[in-house]
Amino acid sequence: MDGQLAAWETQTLRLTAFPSPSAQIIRPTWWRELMGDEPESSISQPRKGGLQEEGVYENGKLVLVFEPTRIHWLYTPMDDEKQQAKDFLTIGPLRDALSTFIPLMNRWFELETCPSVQRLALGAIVLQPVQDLQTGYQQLMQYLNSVQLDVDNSSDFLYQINRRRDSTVVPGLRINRLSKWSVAAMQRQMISMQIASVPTRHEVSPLYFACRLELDINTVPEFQHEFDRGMLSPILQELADLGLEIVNQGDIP
Amino acid sequence: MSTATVEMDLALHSFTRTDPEAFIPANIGEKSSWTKPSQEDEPSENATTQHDRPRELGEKLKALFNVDRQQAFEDGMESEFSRGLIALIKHYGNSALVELTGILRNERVSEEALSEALRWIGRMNHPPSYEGRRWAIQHSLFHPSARVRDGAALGVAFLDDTRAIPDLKQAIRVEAIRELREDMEQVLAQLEST
Repeated sequence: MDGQLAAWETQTLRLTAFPSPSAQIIRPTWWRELMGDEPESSISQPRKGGLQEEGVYENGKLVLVFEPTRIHWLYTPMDDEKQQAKDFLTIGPLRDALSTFIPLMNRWFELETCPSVQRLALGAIVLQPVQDLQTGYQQLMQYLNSVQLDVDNSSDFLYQINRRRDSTVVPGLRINRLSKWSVAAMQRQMISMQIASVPTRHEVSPLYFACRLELDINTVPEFQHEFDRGMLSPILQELADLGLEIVNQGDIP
Repeated sequence: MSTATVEMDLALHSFTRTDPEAFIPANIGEKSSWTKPSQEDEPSENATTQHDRPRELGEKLKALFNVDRQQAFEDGMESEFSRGLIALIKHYGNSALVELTGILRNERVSEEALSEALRWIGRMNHPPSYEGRRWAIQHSLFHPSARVRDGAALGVAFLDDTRAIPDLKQAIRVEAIRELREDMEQVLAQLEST
């Protein structure tokens, strides 16, 4: 399956950092420090000590979700594009999306205010449009060597696996390589709501299908040491390379 | 008569499911033929995806911590509070601990209740939430309130996990209250002899 990378479009990229217990973050200022401007929206959840900020970024939008135990950075399509899109919304081919997202995250690691981190994850949802469900299953089998499907008489297929590997960057560190494979369908529908009656739904587009791969490449929770600040960038690159390998070669040990 | 029309993208969980939850306004994968309302992902420490926490959880914790009211606790004695807290953590797992970590920053919650909570989450036996509890306790060693830090030190002593040593040493270095610093040093000695 070498050379299949370009066939996959990116729906979401996610970096998740798990701060060390000693990190005391009251109100993060990372958005302004990274983007040089205020976010377009900022939602504070004081009771939970949480914060969500978002704004336009390159081909989509960047979202920061902060809570004391986890920090998520998401790169996703713009909401208002949903009004225009015919089929699945994406932010471009995976390699292009990564080359936009990873340098930004490396800049975050370099900020003085970036907390110490004890676990790091790179998540992605990628899609490969296909004609129909059967074609989708045939395509998935190219990536899943151990799977044989009767494509004409099967539905609801979902394959999920974690294949751990040793890090080549940090001695003694193991990396979870979680992948989840399925076929997704999408349709635009119009819903009419009237008081005191059941909402009615009208289909306004055909069904669109895509092979769907969800990746969660992350350092294992058992590793409880703080990463050296200078190692965060090489670790993230290793997570990205492992993700690209799965997208390109399918489910391999 | 009022009428509203909404246009939205619907992704299908499954072609064979019949329940309303099979259709949701998001792009998600085909999932299953189950006819029960929803299929939660299997909880796994290895997965890092963001999950919505149950809506009622925050309210339950808020009620338990009884914001704005002083509560009295007897040292080491079980109470409605400790039983309620343990039940919530056993039921909601790490979601409860994420919410609890947020509550630790809520200035309207009594320091005594927070301190009591840290002692009990160190003491309770529930392996699935262990790492989350350990994180919350070690994080609280650096809390602005001395009373909360005291509860965290006791929580560390109950966990008796040597992995807390670096954070405990750091907390001792910055602890300004002599008595509390000495308590922490005792806990450190306990861990180092483990």
